[in-house]
Amino acid sequence: MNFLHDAVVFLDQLDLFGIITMFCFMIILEVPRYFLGFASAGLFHVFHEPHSAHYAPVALTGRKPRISVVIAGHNEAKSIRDCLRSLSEQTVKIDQIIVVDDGSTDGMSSVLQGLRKERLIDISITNQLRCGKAAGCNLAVVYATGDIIVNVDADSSFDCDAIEKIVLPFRDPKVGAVSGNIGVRNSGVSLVAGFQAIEYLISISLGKRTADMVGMVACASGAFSAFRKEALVQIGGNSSGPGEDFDMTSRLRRSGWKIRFAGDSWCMTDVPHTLAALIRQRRRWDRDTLRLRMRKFRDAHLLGRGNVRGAIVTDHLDFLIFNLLPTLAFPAYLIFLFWWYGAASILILTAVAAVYIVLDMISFWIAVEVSGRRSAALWWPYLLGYGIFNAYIMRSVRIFAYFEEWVFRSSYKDTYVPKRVLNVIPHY
Amino acid sequence: MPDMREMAALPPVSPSPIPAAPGLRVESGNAYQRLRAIPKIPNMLSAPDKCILTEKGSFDAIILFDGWSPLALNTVRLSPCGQIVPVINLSGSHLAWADYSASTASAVVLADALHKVQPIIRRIAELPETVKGAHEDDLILLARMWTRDAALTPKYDPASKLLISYPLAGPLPAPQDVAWSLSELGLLRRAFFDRLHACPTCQSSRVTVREECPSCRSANLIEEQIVHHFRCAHEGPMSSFYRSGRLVCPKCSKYLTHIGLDYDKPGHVQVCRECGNSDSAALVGFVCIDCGTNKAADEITSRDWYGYELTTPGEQVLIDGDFAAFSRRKLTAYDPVRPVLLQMLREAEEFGDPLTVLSIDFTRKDAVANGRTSRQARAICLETLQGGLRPVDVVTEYGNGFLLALPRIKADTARAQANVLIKRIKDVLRNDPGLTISFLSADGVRAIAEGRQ
Repeated sequence: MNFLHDAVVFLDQLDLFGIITMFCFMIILEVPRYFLGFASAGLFHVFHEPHSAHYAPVALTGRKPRISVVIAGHNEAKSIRDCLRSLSEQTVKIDQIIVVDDGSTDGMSSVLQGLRKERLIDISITNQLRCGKAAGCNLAVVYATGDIIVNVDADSSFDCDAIEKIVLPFRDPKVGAVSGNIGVRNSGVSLVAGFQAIEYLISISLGKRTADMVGMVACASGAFSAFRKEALVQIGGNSSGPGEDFDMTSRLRRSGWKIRFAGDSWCMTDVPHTLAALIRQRRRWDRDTLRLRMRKFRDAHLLGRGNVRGAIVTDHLDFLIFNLLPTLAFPAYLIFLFWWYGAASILILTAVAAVYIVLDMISFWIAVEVSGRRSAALWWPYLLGYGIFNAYIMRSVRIFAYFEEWVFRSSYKDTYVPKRVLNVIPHY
Repeated sequence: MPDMREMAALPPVSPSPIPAAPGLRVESGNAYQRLRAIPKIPNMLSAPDKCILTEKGSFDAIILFDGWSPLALNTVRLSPCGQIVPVINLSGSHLAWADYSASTASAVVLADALHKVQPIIRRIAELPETVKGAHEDDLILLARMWTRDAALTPKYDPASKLLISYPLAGPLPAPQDVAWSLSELGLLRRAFFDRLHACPTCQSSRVTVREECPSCRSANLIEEQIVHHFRCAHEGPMSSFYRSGRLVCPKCSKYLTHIGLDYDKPGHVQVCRECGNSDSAALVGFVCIDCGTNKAADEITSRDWYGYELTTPGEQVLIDGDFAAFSRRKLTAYDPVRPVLLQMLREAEEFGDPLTVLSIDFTRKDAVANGRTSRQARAICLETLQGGLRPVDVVTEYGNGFLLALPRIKADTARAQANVLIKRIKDVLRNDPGLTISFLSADGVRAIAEGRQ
């Protein structure tokens, strides 16, 4: 009770400047990015894109494009069948399914031969040595005959109209890639998986939809994306090294191709369900993000240089201001709070956490509404911890990942890509 | 080929001694041995001592000379003992199941042949008359094994569609089926010999195995290596990397000079020259030489082959000379289903409830020929039947199929149910076994239950 009394007294003594100072981090760096953008996307969606119109299948104009699905996987013997089964249920005909077994040691090759006999696969190719996902996808593309190449992860499964929906944006001849929507299949397995389910819903279903509205889809996800083959061939497919999906999307954008997001095209995937596994995954992702954005494509802010256009610059600034800056500033903000306000900082952080929860609830509600996945509303109890988890744990992971990449270039030691490849690829 | 009309016109030769070949004697005791020559003994040849040539009645051996015809041989074999007497082939032509074969006919060779087949002739003489004159395949096979004192051994035979023949069985049709039945009765002891693939269309085992394109099933495949360029992550068939005799990456145009450092070859693909399809592994396909059917590995059937030995009960059947009596004894042996069936019958009669007993039989025997496929097919059938019936119903293997006893069900309901089950079986079996339903009368059921049938 004393604590509450002190808190009330403390807040009562603050003027407007004091309040802004205390909550500056959240007001400047969090609210605009996560709330206003999502709210605008939600409102736009509700008032201008009724679900019925959005979901209605529209025939592609002109010649019906051939569709090839390519899957490159390493040790996916257990999950590949479910993936292919969901592909066999699609509402549009898939002309060709190519699976590359990238040096698996779990018997994936023989599983593929069985699936080949069941006619669930058209071509299966086995790399006796692991070459990395980028090379595996490139190999599949060599044999792909489709006009549209859909690249999926072997541990994913798909709504029956996912392929139909993801190819629709290709009616626009300027579209080079379309990113599909990704949901979490194992959301109920653990608290960590539940947090990620909310995160995917907000950051992909809602966040990418927002980005799509302003032509700023920065990454055609490696788990589920479709590409115009002409565009893929033009840029030479995947580059070596981790983070190949962001890398390829960046090169497509610089080559003048539009990147779209198909929010109604759903792919479900399993996310890491333990904290340790999640941290490993996010360290890898964040290292790749930093390497690609701040090293390989570091000129993305130079408007007019090369093929850097307005949307690319905006996207880059968005990353700098709303991702990199808050991440790096967060420890400084904490230090400032404790130095300036002492024990009262606990109160401030509690208040910030409460605001996070409220903001997350609003964002979540909009995301559920926009995505059309009403069943996701059942995840709301996770919201009570989601904001705190993201703000403190995942942000700390990101800080560490950025640090190790910046200082040690750790992404070049990543086992995701074979060592013999990492040794010779260009280092940025 | 001798003229059959000419042979028929020949006057019957009365049994008469033939001058013996000098220096050779047939160990036939005091009795004359009767020989049947086909078409006839050459003029320059004389038979050994104590032998007579005959053209009618019983005989102890058949001798084939140049010009014999299979038709004439079959006609002769229809005579009493004709199925089990030794056959001496002096014609020079091939007859796999002859007891003695030589390329030339001479007095010396003939005498030697008769000498060699004497044990067979002596054993035939010991057989009861009912066995000597038997026309049942079961008894003939048992008799041939016993008289030759040999096991029924399978032999690879490229001339046979089944790729296996049993020379000892002589020209018996389907000796493998006869021997299998006898082994089921305990008269023969079987030992596994080999498992051969068989064409599901014509049952021939003359099938070739080959690697085929998974797309068009052509065997016209070539293997091509895959090259992975580390630096740019391009991976593709080696042919796309060849430029002026060197490896050049088609994506980034860099020379690949050092395997392991610049590039590697992580695998290979089979490229079909017919349809252009590429795949890491070719499918294994089977082509039947006899009917041309092309089947994938999982579509081909297989058949097990066994060697057989005569058992003591088998010898006893020959001594008794009554195969039918043995079969009856076997049928009346204890069968756990019989008392259940009898009880069901009694209950039905006592309480006036309907009891429907029907048999489901395989009419297409080839679809469930003996061997692994057959056993699997029968097990699947039994499982399907058991799965589709009530716990109170009885299913058991019976005759060439299954016996179903369905208490408190009328015949038309049972027929409908059986048809559903047959459809299910057809759905799961690779080959249609041609199942038919037949209903058993109350007397028929009682006969089975009491072991009379």
